[in-house]
Amino acid sequence: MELKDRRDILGSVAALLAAPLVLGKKAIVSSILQDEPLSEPKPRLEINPPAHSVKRRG
Amino acid sequence: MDKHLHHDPDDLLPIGAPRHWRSLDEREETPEARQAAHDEFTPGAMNPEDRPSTNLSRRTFMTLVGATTALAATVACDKKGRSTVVPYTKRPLEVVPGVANFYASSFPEGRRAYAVLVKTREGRPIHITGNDEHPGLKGKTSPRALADVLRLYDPDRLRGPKISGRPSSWVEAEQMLVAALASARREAKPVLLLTGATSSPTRRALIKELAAAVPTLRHLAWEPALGDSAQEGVVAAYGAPLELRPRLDKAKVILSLGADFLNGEDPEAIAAFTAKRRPSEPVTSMNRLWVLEGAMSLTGTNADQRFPVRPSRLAALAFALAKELGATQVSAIPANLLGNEGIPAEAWHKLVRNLETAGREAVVLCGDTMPAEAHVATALLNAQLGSQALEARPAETLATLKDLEAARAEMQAGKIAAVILWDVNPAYAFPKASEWKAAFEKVPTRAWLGLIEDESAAQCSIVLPEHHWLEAWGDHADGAILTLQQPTIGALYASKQGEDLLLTLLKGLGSSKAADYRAYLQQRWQKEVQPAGSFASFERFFQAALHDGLVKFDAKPFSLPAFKGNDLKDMVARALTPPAQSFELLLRPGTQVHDGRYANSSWLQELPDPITKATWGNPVSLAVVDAQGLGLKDGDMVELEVAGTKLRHPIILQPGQAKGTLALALGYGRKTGGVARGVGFNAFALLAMESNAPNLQLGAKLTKARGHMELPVTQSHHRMEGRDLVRSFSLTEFAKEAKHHHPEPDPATLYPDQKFPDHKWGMVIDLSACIGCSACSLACQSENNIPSVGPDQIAKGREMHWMRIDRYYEGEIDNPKVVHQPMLCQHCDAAPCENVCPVNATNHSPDGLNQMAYNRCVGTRYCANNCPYKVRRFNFLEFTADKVEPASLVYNPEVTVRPRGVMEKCTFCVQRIQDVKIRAKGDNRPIKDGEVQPACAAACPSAAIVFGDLKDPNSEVARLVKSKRGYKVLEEVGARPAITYLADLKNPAMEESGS
Repeated sequence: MELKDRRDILGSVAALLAAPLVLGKKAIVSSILQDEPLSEPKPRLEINPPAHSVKRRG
Repeated sequence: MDKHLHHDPDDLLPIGAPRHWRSLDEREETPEARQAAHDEFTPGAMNPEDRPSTNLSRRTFMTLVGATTALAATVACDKKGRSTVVPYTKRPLEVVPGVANFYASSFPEGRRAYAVLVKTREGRPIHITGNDEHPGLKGKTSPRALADVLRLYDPDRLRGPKISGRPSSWVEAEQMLVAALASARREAKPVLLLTGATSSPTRRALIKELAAAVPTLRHLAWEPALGDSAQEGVVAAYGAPLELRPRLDKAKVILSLGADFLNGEDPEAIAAFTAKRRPSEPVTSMNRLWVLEGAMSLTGTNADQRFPVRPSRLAALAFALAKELGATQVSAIPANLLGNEGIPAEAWHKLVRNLETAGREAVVLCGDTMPAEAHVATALLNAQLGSQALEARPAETLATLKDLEAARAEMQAGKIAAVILWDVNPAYAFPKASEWKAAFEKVPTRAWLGLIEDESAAQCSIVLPEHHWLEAWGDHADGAILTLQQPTIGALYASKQGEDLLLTLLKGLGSSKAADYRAYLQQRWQKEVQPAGSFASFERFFQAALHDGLVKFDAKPFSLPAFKGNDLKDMVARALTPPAQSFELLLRPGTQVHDGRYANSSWLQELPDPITKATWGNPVSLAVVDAQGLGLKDGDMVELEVAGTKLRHPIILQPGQAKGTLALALGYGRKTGGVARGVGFNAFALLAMESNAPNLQLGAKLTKARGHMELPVTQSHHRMEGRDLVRSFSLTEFAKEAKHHHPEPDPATLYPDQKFPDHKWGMVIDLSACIGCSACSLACQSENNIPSVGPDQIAKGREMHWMRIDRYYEGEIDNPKVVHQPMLCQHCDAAPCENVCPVNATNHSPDGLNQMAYNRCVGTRYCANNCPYKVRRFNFLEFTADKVEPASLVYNPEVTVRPRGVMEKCTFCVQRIQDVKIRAKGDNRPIKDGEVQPACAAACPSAAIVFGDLKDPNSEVARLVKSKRGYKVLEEVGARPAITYLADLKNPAMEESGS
């Protein structure tokens, strides 16, 4: 590997590792993973057991 | 050392034409077939073109790795994504987490209903089997009933009422409908209620009540795929509409005239038929099935003696048979009729003698889609024979295409005030759909009630979601049995059951007091079903009926009424009409999708047709000789012209199809539904509106068109180089074979013997009993969370079914014999797959299972390459794990959902084995023989699959492996499979001397 390439890679990795220290972890996390969802989450389906049915076994 | 270990590789090449073949290429040993056998897997299956293309350089890769590492390190300690598992605060009394509940219910389909047992987990129905309390079904059911649990969770289901396209409420919709009915009643204007057929006496009583409240209400019950000819023929023969059910336990000789009674819809008939085809040794007797049919059917593939005959000629042949048996009313039938029909005189003579000799123990069955005159001729034959093997049940009169055409004309004239469509789709299934739609637009109030918005719903101002049957109440008449349908889950959406809507309408019109349909059903049962003088309270009686799923009556079976034979002369004259010189087109209900109502089920779309093995579509099948004459091959596009209507279709060549006959499945070519849309072609447009046999079009023209379509057909996948995989004998051949039979010694092996301290699970599959219905394959899919992959992946040979049904032909192309062979993981003791797995993801259990550790599998696929049976399936893409609710609710929580990159295969339903082991241990008792039932064995209507402990010398499976018909597939490879097949037996008349 050429020296320039190695320097590029090491530079990128170092920058990424240093970023949380400089910007703060919270800022990075909240910019990548939205704390507040953009839209209302889809409500989960409500699973109700049947009323008045008679089970065979269980 | 065993001689097989010294194989010359050249020995593998078949010499001459192989005895059994699966495709025409294989039979002719074309270079393509040899190449495909050499390649092992379908071209494309192993190509990585599905991966996203990338020009990733090493530098970019390293940058990405660095970034990923940094990001992972940064966010890994974040609390997001953590959740807490909490127990129920108010646990429903019925639900115990981790324990399955079973409910008895009924699956309604047109005139039939199947008593079923529904398995639920944590409130979700996940698997359906037949009701073991039903004396005829004995725990078996139709493949479509098995698959219908998927429709409950169909993401396309309508979730709430709509009025003029906007979300609305039930109250508003019901008020609009009540107002429309009240106004129609006041102005004496007709109201049309168009529904599917039903077997429910209580639903019929309710519709009668509605008709009394709105005297102008007209009810039409319509089953679009069945055609009108069977009803016309039965009315002409017996004077009333009847449902005729075969009672094959009483039949020694069966003649089918285009009747496909083994297509899976009638598990009782399958059980009774196959019970007489598993002879004890030495072989003494078997029933005999004669089949005359145009297109190859599942029944035809199981025939002992089959002759391809154009469907339009069946009636004439049946009348000729009646004449031979001494009927005087059919003297117009000429003596030389047989000459042109391709049935050898000797075979005809034997058929006549067979029927004569069997007498009351013979039965003739006619296909629903055959012309009316064929049904009359069948009735005449059964009357002559005095057949005991037929049961007649009273049936509701079904609307014919002529009735619908009359209703359309009235709508066009603006006479009809309101139409309610309930579980019917005329905008798709009426042959002149555009004319229907134009007339329908003129109806002021148009309401639709159903599960998934369809072509007809698009035209309705009031669109209402209906409960799936697993959410609804009901009852169904089934001969001397009345079955109950009860909800197995609370309604998932804001839907209602259709009967509840009718009750609300009745209340709005001031005619009913029942709180809901359950109360209405109970009231009717209290009055009409509970035996008079019963000591038990009604509540107890009803609870017991719900528990069992049915009540039985001591009523005698309905016997066949006397043959009336109205218009017999006319029918004979019709039968003698000279055959058309052009093609005859037979339009049949789709084996899987029926009339299109199941078209949105990916399980059914992907289940291979039992004969053509085509999935995801409905190619026109035609005789090989016809295709060769026109220069056509599989997948070529043709133009099909019938009575001025033209359609472009792909074709498929079908060995055994009668020359001049085309066959096409109905129920495809839907325009709505995420799965159904655009799959196949709508053939309803080709039904003959004016004819007395709408499903049989004479005078069809077929011309070669431009273009070719790659058909997603599975028949040539997973080939095994023409080895002796399937064994089939006639009774005479088997008698000779059995004399020289001696069990094959286990081939030598270099591997140490496996030890099985407690159990050694094994299976026996009786090819003589297997009819090829694919119920096992569907049950396996439902039990084991097997994904559907779609037509593109199927075309690459990437289907995921753990159990496939191989269909082998034997003999001549124009009329081959057929054998079906279920093929699944053989759980070999010296498994070639286990030895090559670099991570030991597949290994052997102490009770003989070849098991998979999914989270250890790294996807090398060495095991699939080394499996001689080609039964391992690889998740090339993310087929399952990305599913969200509601689609994911159908998953069985006892079986791991496999992600991309993982190999999978049959486990012998290890979860069921473990469940039984735990129960037996809890009860401190040994496992009983037959207690462990894998999903396939539990679903098989002919009980062809027997599972059990080979270490238990008294088990059924241990007894059957010693059968003289027993053999192991590829025994010479030395893999020591745990599955024994029993050779197929046929009972052809042509080998008999004398009669």
